[in-house]
Amino acid sequence: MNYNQLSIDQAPSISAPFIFFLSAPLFAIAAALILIFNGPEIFQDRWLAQNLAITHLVTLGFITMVMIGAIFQLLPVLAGAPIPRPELSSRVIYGFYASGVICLATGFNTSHQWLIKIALFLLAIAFLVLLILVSIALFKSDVSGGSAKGMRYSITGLWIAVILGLTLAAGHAWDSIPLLRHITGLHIAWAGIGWISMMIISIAYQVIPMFQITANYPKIIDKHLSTGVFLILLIWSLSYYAGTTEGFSLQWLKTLTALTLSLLLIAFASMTIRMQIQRKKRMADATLYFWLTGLINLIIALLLYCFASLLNLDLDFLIGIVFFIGFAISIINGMLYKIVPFLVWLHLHRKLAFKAGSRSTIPTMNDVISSRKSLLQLYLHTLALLLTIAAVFMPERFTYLAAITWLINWSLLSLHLIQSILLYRSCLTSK
Amino acid sequence: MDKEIVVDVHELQPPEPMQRVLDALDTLVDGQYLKIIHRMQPFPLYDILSDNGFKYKATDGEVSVFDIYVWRAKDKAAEKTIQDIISI
Repeated sequence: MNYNQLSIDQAPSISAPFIFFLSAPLFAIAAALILIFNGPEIFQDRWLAQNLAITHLVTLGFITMVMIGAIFQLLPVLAGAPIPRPELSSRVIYGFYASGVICLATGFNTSHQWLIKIALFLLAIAFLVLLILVSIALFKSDVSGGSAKGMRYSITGLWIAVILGLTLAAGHAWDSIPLLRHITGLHIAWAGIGWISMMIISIAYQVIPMFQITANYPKIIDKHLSTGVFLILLIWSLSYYAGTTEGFSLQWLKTLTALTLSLLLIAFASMTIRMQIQRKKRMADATLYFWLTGLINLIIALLLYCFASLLNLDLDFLIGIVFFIGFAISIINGMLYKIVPFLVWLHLHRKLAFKAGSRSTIPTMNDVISSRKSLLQLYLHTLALLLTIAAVFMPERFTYLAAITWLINWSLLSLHLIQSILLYRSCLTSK
Repeated sequence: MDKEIVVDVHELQPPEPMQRVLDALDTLVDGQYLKIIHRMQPFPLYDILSDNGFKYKATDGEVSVFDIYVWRAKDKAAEKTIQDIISI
């Protein structure tokens, strides 16, 4: 088979992903500050307004912020599906999105309904523009394979999570609209599994073999895992919703689908760990350890969930921390240490590779962010995660320690990212 | 002189594949082309090639997933050789 020349300028300029990457740690810093100001009482009740602020600063402000930036970069590279006018669309989405997250978190933190109303409109516009552009690009793409398929499911998952989230936010914003707290579980599941996990799986199919020189994923996982996860999540959602209707319960189906879903994701995580252990080149870097940390946390979170479901225990706080911070943030943080140096290196090559004498002066990926720097942040991240888990059990003793460690950790990540873009600019201006 | 310069990058970690290819491009003389053995389509490389007067063609690979042929856009002899190889 011959492959036609793909359209040139598949990749957007460096600014499209970088505005999202550079902002993300700032939102996480804000989350750490709220934790410091509120102290141990944060761990007393998951429904506290300050908890909603922290949760959304982490999930929207950090996790989804980085993922949107990565989408601008990865869709053209992995799915051959560039987003039209990436510079303009990334700025429009960023403007609405970043201000929307700020309003939402401030609204929750200060219990000002008018801020949540503004946030709702800003986030609705940001997500609508993003989802329409990405959906068109993805569904027009003729690239097949597990990665592109998983991305399509992941974007569908984000559509559902956003609609559920906006419905919930409307309940917080207007007294006349009922707060449908019982759909929170659906919102979290579609955000956590349908959107975040599905995107991480799709990206893993490409980046694990590529960056860590492992074998490819087995065909059955590559071809069918994302479809299986999506369909079972859909059935779980129906049984979950049925369970909220009076006189109607599909508890057995809900438990069965939840356990199956957990098993599928545990299989994915175990397979990835196995591939990483058996990688062809024995070199290891911070990204590999971030991935391993993330995957182990995914397995722990799912086992805790199964355990809690079967024994009817309330482990929501612990599971949420292990899943969103231990799994999602570890992997996203680790990917930043690959993607950011790679993009700086790549864009410098795009501009300078064929200028006489320039190529030898382009910094290596290790010059952009050294392995010593990324390993230091890995240690801080792991320490902060362990302290946060300890704070769930002993909030009085560990909350402030955890919060201050997060503050240092995110500040360090922020510094590393800012240094990268400054190096990029200095290389261009010196030519 | 061999017309074909083979650059096998299918087991290298980014950014080594692109480095190897760019180094090999520097050595190309008239009538010569690169055959890159790669596990994926290197979309970022395509942009650099297009911007700098090269053409490329990807086909199913023999050793790995893709074979990607690269030649100077002005080099009609190399283009003819590649067309002959691909049409076989």
